[in-house]
Amino acid sequence: MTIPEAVAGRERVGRRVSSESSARRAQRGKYSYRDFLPRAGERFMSVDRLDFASISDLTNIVRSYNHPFYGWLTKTTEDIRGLRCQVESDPNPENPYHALIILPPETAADRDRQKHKARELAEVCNWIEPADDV
Amino acid sequence: MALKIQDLSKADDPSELQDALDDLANVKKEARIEQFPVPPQSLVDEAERLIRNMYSFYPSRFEVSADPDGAVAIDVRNGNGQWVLLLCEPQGDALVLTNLEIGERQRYPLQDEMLNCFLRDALGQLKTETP
Repeated sequence: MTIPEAVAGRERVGRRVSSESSARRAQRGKYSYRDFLPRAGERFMSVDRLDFASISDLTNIVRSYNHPFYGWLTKTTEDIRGLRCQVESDPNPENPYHALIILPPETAADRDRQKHKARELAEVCNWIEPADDV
Repeated sequence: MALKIQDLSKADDPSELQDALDDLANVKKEARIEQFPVPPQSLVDEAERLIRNMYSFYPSRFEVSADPDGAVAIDVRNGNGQWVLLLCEPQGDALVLTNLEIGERQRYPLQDEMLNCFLRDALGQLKTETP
């Protein structure tokens, strides 16, 4: 499937969850701000575009990084942009589905604002677990 | 203003308080696993007092977790899209973040007031608008 360069409003993107405790909360429908919090001073967060590949294929890509991985917190691009964040495609040879959530500029130098924005992003999500046949 | 503490036996579901306290008891271990700075025991003790006070004011299931900067995070939501995130920070501050009309954030010294006006008003608004 061709992956359009522009990330459309209805597209779902998924933020990888690498924390077991976050995953346990997500399974109860409680999504943690931690999973949408960039490093201090940064505005960029990796996400995967979920609408152009099967969950099995995406799971394969993510597991190839050899990092802990428990699932994705997903949101629509429209919802993310509604919180004054940008979503831009950022494909790379290993992961053509890679994209970035970019927080508003004022958050970069203000950790409290970063956490506020992260909490906003965590409010309405869905939880997708990796494929277990991979 | 003195905080009025309710009798917990009249709270909606005391097991919710116990769940939050169980999460708190695990918060140092969680921080170690996540490779976050581990909150000192004195901060965990402060957080416990705060959780008990908050619960007496707004009984619900608080999500308690380790913060990447060494704080204890207490996340309160009302099921109506509104939330209060309280961070008990190792430097001794409480940072209150909300998506409520009363304001997005306030920081206050944790030891000065356990339940300051802003936090109490935020919890009050959550309570009022709980579905």
